[in-house]
Amino acid sequence: MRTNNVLLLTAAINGLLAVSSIQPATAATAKEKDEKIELLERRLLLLEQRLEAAERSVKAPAPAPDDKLQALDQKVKILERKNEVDKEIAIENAKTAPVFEAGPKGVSFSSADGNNSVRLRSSIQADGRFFVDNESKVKDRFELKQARIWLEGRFWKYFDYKLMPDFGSNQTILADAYVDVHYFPYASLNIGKQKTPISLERLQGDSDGTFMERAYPTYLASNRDVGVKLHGSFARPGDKVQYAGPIDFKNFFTYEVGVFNGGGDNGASDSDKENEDNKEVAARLWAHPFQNSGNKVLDGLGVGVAGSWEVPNNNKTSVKNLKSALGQNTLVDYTKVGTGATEVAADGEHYRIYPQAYWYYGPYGLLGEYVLSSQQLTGDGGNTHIQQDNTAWQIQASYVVTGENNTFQSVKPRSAFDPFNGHWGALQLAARWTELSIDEDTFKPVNGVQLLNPSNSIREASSWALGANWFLNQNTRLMADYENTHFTGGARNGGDRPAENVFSTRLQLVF
Amino acid sequence: MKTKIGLKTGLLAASLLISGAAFADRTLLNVSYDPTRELYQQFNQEFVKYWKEKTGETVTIQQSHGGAGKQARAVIDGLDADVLTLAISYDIDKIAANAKLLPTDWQKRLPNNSVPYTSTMVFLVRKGNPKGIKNWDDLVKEGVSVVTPNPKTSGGARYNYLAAWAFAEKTYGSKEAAKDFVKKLYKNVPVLDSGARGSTTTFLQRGIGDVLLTWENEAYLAIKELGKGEVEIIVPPFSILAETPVAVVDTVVDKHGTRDLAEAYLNYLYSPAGQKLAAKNFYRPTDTKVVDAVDLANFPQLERVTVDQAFGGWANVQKDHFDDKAIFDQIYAP
Repeated sequence: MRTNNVLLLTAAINGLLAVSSIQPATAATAKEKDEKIELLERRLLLLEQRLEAAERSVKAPAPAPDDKLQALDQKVKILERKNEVDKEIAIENAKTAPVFEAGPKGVSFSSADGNNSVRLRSSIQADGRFFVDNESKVKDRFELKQARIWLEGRFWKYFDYKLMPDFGSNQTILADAYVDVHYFPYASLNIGKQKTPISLERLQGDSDGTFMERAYPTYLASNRDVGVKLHGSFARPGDKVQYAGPIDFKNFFTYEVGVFNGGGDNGASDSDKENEDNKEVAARLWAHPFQNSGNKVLDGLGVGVAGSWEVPNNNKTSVKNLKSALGQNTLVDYTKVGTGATEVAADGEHYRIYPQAYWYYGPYGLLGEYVLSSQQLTGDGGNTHIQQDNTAWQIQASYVVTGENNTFQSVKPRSAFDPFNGHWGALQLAARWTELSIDEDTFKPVNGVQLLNPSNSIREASSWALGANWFLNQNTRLMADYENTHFTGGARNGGDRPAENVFSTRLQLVF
Repeated sequence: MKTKIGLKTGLLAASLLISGAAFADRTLLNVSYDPTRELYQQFNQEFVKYWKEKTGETVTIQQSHGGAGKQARAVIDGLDADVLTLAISYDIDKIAANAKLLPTDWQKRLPNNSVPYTSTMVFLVRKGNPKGIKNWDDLVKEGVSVVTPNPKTSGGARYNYLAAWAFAEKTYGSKEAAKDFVKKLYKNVPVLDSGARGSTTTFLQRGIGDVLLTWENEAYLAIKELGKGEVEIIVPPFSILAETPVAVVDTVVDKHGTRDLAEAYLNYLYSPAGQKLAAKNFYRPTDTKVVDAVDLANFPQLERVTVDQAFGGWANVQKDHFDDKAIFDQIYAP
């Protein structure tokens, strides 16, 4: 660039000098000569200035395109690497960051490894109960059957817990409060207030049942009770066992055996203290004999047997009234004693035997159980005893019309109710037959003592029920049940109590 | 008679079971810092061979590598390390103090304060050293891009930081000047990786920066892998003595039944074979007499200050420089 400018300037000067050397020879005046020289000098000055400017531009060149490219390349590389490092850090942090979840199973926080967690859950059951014949002493009513909010979770990988109060049915009770220590799936220890392992339907989740109210066998079992339970699960040979909680209906074979305070038949759900030293021992064996056997029809068959034994000592609090299933009318009233009796108390051996089974296959479901509850009662402070052998049984069948799988853990609709997009949830229809039989000896005078007044307590109850469950989504269910119950005894002068016809509805929300 | 036979049979079976258990293959987990992968891959092979010849037992050595600080945290949180071969003693002190997996005087149990080999921090520059980097003060010049990991997570990065600080304090005469110096240095750091190996990737694979501050062994390894001429090692006249300690984790080895194996493993690092392997992998051996002269020639003489001399120990370093809101947090803004 500089060479070109110098050559240009030299040529220009030479040209001008050449012109000036020719001009005088052509009779130009002295004045004209001076003007021309002045003009040439100005043009020379101009050219010198241009040359200097050109040289300056050569001395301070603009950034070369290569340098700019390199700087830009570094910036891009740094940004890319920062992005990589940020991702690495994010992945590392995610390994230890706590996990927050909000979904159909409530709200939970857990450590990244899942060894520590807290889950907040809740359930509401709002019922309407209407007696069709209107002859019942119990009034038609709306009722908040269940209003629970509870915490469950895990600490240190092997310690599960549940803390569940219930504010429904016009009372506040602590339904569950336990810790389950499960280092070994085949031998875990549950300590605290929990469901006694006896009745199949009692052990079913409170919001998983097919009918709004449980059938008669449940009322001859203990309710929730405080105690210690050893339980374990085993997989089919060749399969891997997985811990499934203190009430396990998932593994091939399970056992439960525990010692509890003992609340008597239909024990109060709010009993968490004991009135005597004697304790109740309860045990239960359960198996899915065809689980993972390849036999799809029988894969969901579960069979088991449970039993309990205790020897209460003149215990008045463990003798509880019995009610009808859906109507919740009092059927057996231990406060209305017969001739010669003062107060009914459990005094002597009390044992129960509970064979039980269920079968689920596709949309079909069957559940049944039988109970014999044999207890020694006294009506006069222990002078006279009666061995009361009460029995109850039930069989229920259900069918999911919309085709979803029927399970012991309720029904999960394929799609949630959304009429704008043609989704209607799931519909289940069900039928049940259940009977309760109170030992005849209860009403016969022994040594002048008649334990119960036959005008106030029934001797037998037979109920059939139909039910429909509309699962709007995994959390919400609309239920409608109708139940007809025929009684033997329980009316004035030993007559039969009129049949009870109840229609009941429920909106249930559980998360 | 039948009972006696049964008893004998039972005892025989029990003794077979016990002896079987005693000679069952055992596994040792060595939790180490980032750039020791290559050293321990070779060392483990040698040790397994040595142990088999000595005892007849076939053992498996597993390795875990990462930023030294992260590795220490993992052990505190439950990673079952039989042995630790970490970058700085402070990380093992933390494991001893917080998780109580080994005694607090662990450093007295092996020779040379449980440091079988040492290292130092050097510069790796691009071919021809285009920025003319020779010493620490070249790193703070405008336009020099420096690659070093995050001293919050990397032991090597801590040594880099402390070497720069010690140089500045010695050169400019005050802690304030040193603080200002490292602030300028980290202004020239475009990206902070979590470990030394990550920074090597940033410099070599991603082509970022003019100089990589790194372990001497890591620098030699880079040259070995890339070939001479692509990058050059610059050994500054002043740096830091990187003392990389080792320790048996008592609680874990007692639980695993591996104490004898773990102790033999670490002692083997001090053996001539272990020292030679360390030197071949560019770690400075503590017993130079047993190492080949060719390998020793890789380690030029330089002034190396120790953490104890310049900073009064790792506990002070942690408190003054690397705790939350301490000096590093004050001077570094990403």
